[in-house]
Amino acid sequence: MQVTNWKISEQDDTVEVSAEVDGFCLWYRLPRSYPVARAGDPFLAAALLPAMLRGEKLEVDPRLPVSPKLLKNLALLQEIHHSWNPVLKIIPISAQTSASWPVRQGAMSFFSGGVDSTYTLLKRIKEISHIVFIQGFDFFAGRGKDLPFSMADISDLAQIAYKLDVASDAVSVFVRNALSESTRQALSRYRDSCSDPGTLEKALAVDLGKLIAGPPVYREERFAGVRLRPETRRLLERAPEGKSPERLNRLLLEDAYPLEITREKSAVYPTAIERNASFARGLGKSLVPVETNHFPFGYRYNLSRNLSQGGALASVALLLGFPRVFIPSSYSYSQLFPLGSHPLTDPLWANEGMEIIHAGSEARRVDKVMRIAEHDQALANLRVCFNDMNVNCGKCQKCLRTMIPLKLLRAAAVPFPPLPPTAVIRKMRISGDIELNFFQDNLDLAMKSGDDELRDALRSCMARYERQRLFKEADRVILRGLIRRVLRARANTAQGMQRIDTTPPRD
Amino acid sequence: MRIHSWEIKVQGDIQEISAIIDDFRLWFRVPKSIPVSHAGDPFLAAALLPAMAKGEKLEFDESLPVSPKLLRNCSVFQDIHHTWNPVLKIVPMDASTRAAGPLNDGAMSFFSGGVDSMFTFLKRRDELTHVVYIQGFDFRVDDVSYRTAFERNASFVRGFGKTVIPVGTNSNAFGYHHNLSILLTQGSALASIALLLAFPRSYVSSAYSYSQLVPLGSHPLTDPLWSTEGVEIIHEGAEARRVEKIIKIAENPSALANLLVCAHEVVHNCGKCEKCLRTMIPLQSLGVSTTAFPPFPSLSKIKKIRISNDIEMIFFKENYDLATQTGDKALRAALKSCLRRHEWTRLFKDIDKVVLGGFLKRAYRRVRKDPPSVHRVSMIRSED
Repeated sequence: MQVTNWKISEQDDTVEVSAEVDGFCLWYRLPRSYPVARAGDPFLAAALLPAMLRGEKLEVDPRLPVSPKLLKNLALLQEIHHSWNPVLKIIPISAQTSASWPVRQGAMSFFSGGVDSTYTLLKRIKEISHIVFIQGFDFFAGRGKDLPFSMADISDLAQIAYKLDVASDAVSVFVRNALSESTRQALSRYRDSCSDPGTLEKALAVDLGKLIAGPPVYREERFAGVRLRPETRRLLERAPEGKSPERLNRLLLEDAYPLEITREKSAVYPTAIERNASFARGLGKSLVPVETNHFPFGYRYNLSRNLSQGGALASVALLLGFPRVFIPSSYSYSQLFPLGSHPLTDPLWANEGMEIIHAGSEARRVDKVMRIAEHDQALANLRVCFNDMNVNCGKCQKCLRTMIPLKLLRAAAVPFPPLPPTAVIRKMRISGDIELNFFQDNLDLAMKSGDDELRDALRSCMARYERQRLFKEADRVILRGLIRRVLRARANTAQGMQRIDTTPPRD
Repeated sequence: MRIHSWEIKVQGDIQEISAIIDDFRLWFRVPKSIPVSHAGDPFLAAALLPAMAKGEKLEFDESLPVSPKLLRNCSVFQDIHHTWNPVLKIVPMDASTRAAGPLNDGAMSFFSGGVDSMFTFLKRRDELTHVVYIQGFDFRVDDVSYRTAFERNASFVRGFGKTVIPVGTNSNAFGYHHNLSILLTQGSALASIALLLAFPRSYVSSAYSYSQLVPLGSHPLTDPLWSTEGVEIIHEGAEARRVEKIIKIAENPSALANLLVCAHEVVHNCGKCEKCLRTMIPLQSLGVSTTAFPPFPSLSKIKKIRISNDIEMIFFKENYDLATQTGDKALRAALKSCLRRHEWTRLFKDIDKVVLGGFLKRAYRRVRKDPPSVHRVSMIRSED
């Protein structure tokens, strides 16, 4: 795997740094006023896990020196990831080395406005000078939809390849049938080991482009299972006779593949950036917005974001070149499990000029919420929602797990709708042992604050989860998984797509 | 908690370095020829967990400076242990500071002759100049056995051109004095010796791989925090699982012949205990014959092995996977039946816990009239 063709270009008030990694143009854009590191370090960080997955030597363009300290650290980092998931192979890295030094002063922390990053900002408020807000890691929005379809419009190659391969919905059957023979071949080569993503990307872009430019793709039965946007519906209602349906076709495919095909940028990110920037200004800090196409890059190799998050954050930190970098942790030292951002691995992404600190593992989520509740501005700015970056829905797991401690702390002016009645809380489903930890933390607080009603509701969720877990365990040990297999067969669900994660799949 | 009355006494070939920590005199005995640290660092490493358990400020005599880097690291160390077990409180530390440089040249590794330290020894043999063999840490043994075991290890290590440093200490008794579990204190006890000897690089061998991490006194997150300006402490070997270490050791006949893993014996391997068996099983799978262990027991005996806990189960699974790889079907079947039995036992316990609220466990204890066992302060909160 090669890192080549490093470029820096300026446009209006933005500076873009890019390089070709395995044929993919990976880029980062930030305000022009910020200096950036002109070394290979950021791209080495981004490319490491994909290269490990492919078991390929990683070669960095000799004109693009990398830090010797980073190179040394990556040997250990590779050992840790390989030990967690042996599908990630230990690979050699070839690069010219030259020590890297900070390109600016101060200390930065990554910031999304959620519980972890707000806690770290408050705890390190004296030291942190900049907070960095990334767009293009949680999801990816791209160019205008009127431009011809290209490779850059595919945001999740692994998932669209999986859907076209399995073809279990009507749209995918239709698209699959429209693919050229060479695209199908590229698809089957890619399927098993994510090999040669470049060829598949190009071929898919051509075929999807033809579909969009061709006759109307809409049939009622074909799109029966697809949730259409109001805009698509409007266009559909007044489908122009005889006119090219290109725009409608594109919207329909975007709706059928909402995460896999890039949408036009909406106001979501600018709104989030504006809110967080004004919060930062209020605290005397600067917000650095960084845009990247790391989301499609990671999914080119089917890497779960749990796995690729460490390298993604590190690449941005190495690009910005602050001497101290805080990466807010999601889990406490007592809840550690293999994860892309981990107190063992995060510090290893550093070069001579910086220290990377995995911050906040001394606190559980509930401790962090307590700290935030003491700070009016931070509390007002808190956004944790799974569904919306700008408004807390008050219904998803992440909202609820944050609203419960806020209610117990009797926090006023919370940026959430009112907590639903306990009957609703009682019905919350716990998705796994990690989620169980958060329930336990909230239960501890409910017991301390003497709220018997919430305490009982949380207890009953946990008891239900424990019974379910016991049932599954009994099925596994006594019946060797018979019930699970029967249920799966009945639901007629093929095993869903599995991303490459920090650990091997369980079954 | 106050650390004072530091002294160094020479008797024959041995120098004894000691200090009084509250009411306990903690000592280390090292050959006179080896330069040792005169700073407070080794005693800081030994006293921090006891001070945290008591929730008391840790104070040092003016004359006993500690490394500023170590002092900074100790606050992260405290964060980690407090998060693991809140019984261990975060305490302030009061000491004068002075940067600590190395006192010896080269690199050292702790060495017991077991799988973990043998693996580190082989992996780092080009770099290592010394190995440290501790008396009074892992087990309390009589002098004759200790000397026999020491001589055995020393002659093995000398064969590689390395020097053995025997170190005696009562740090184990010190930990028990504060009712701390040895699993909790093992990391800091080793660190105190590494800081006393002050080699620029000191290796602490890991028992578990990165994929098997659990809160433990010696851990890749905490061990490096004991480093000072001049001494780097490295948690070594966590990239390998136990079977991988054994495979590496089996490639070296002299290392294999010197392997000493027994939980019961000091001079040779009994071949019956959990630790012996978990080492003999992979050697059997690999078809390696060795005089280090008694003959391999019959498969019917293997089938009866009780897996005592989930950690032991991890080692068992590794051994099972290896038997699958090497195609030893009979051994694989025997291991499988142990694993199945353990799963059934665990399921039974879970049913009791979730459905009956632990009724059976309490009833069983009452019937057996078991005296309550000693609860030592450990890495995590006690469940009962």
